[in-house]
Amino acid sequence: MARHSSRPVSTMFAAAQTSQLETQIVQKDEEINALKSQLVALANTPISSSVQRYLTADFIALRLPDGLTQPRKYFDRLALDKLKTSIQKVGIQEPLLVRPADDGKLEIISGERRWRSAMELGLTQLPALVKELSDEEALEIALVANLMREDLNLVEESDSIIALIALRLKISRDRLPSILFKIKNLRSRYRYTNTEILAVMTEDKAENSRILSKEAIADIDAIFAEFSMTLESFAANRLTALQKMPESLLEAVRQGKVGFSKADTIRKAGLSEQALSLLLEEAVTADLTKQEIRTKIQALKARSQLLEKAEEPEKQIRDRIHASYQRLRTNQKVWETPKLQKHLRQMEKLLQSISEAAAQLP
Amino acid sequence: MPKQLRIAVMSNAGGSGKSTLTVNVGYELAAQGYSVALFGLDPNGSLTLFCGLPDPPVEDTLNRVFQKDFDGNWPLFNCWSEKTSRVQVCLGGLIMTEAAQRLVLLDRKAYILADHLEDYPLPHDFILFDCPGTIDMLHSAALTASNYVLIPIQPDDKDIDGAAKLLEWIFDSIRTLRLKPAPEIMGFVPNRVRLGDRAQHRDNMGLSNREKTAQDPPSLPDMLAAMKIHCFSLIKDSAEIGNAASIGLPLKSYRPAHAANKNFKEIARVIQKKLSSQS
Ligand SMILES: Nc1ncnc2c1ncn2[C@@H]1O[C@H](COP(=O)(O)OP(=O)(O)OP(=O)(O)O)[C@@H](O)[C@H]1O
Ligand SMILES: [Mg+2]
Repeated sequence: MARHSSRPVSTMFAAAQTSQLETQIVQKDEEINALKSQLVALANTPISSSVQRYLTADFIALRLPDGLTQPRKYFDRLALDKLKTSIQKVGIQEPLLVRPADDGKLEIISGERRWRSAMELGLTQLPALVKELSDEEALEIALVANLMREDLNLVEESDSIIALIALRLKISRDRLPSILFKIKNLRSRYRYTNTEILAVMTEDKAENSRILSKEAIADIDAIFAEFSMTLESFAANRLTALQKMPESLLEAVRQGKVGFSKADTIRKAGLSEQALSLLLEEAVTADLTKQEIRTKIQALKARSQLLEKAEEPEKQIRDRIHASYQRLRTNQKVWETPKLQKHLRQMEKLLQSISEAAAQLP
Repeated sequence: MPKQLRIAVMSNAGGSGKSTLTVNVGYELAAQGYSVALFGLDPNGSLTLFCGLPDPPVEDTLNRVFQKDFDGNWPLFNCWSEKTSRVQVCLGGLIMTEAAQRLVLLDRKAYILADHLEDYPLPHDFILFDCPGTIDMLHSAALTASNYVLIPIQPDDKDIDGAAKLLEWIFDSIRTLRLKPAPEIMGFVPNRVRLGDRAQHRDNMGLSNREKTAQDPPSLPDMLAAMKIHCFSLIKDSAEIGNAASIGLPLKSYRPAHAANKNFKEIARVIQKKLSSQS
């Protein structure tokens, strides 16, 4: 038998853990701000002979353990070629930022495109600043450096911001979207302050609340502000679109094949998987404008509606109602939410009158 | 200026072994060739007793250091002078209650010790602060002046709860006092542990005889690991440790073969490592 203790050790330490996290957030902020000013200084100082050069062959892309992934996954051919031309003309203007690895390689935190261009150009040496950084610090700076350069596409940028917030708050990326949505809703619907938001989220009992503190919420806001966004706009405009966007569209945006807003237009059409991939391919190869995409969608829809009508007679209504009810039946929240009570009662009435009518049928 | 490390020994519980650790770890560091200053911040004056010294005259206590117009003349006494020349003590005693009250009125109350140590540096490699048993103004002064905090703890529920509150207070203080670089938690030292006759100790140390189940709350070492805080090897309850203290000797010179000497050595070694990694 376990000894009965009214307060388990984990409860005793809960407040200490929160305070520790808040302190870490503040400290991290300060560290990152210092590094950021270094990055800015790096970008602004023309390369002088004082910057050490290293063998191009010693560089390598940043290697991170599973679960921490690099923000940039694709290197746009056109952009690379442009960079190459510029490097040929004026050389590498800004030193790379690297960290030394145990195997003697220099892992690139910032400057992977410069390195790739340099390799293709056959440059043997590259200017770089070497800094000892932990995996988390390295990723954080890589994200910040990329975001600061503003040449990520929208999906990469959103991925990066989510990764950055998750990293700083020490929560998993998967859980972050629901947290952001919740904060956004509490703010836009009820104009809640951070203190009130925290109170609601703590009562929520979901694990979400355990890591969130007032400081954490303020920190999320600060991160968005850093990149001239707000939590609300990010959640409303991007997160919804990203979450609903099928992987094939996301990939196309990541690879720079199609712009985010075009992809979003395709997504909103709600096409079948096959129709979507055909349209996407056409949009990419023919470089369709958004208006052209819209026109295509309308045509596709009109055609499929005709087909549906021809093939599927009204008999479906029973199945449709049945299916909706099945879905609602086990969703306890639906039956408990006060706001829905009116609708439920209306439905009950409707069913009653249908039953009554049915009883009259011959 | 040679690098100096300062360690606050705190616990937010009485009788957990703060003074015991201060004395024995301090002596061990001296035995390794380092110079050490021990500061007794506690009004109970245990440090005086554990060092085998008579109560100092009020003018020659830490109280002097906690004055705004302290002139840099540190009230230091040699300690265990027959055995070592490397340990000095700066003693507190009852007058520290007054010092704590006066602190509240000072402009830079929480920083007074840090300020004076910066303005009038001591030559010692290490300074250990033996703090009182409950959090007070003197704690803020010690925390602000420290690089590390060492937390001895008797693994009773009451003491663990107190230590958790101490941690919370430390992290809060780091933010509110804007300590940069912030002091780090060097680790917890489970002390006076009685695995034989105290189920509470066994449970809290995760050393229970019964099978562990998923419903069991985490043990103290589990909890510390989750917070990335080091937990030193436990020190068993042993009357000899108290006996050595009563006659004012470090355990190492009173009972050289005593098992707890290994514990003190383990802690001293971590402290030495921190010093060498700093320079
Ligand atoms: N491992 C141990 N085994 C047995 N007795 C111990 C042990 N550690 C310390 N003691 C004794 O327990 C008592 C309390 O220890 P100590 O004075 O070091 O604690 P403290 O935290 O400084 O207490 P206070 O808050 O009262 O200053 C002392 O009499 C000491 O000699
Ligand atoms: Mg004491």
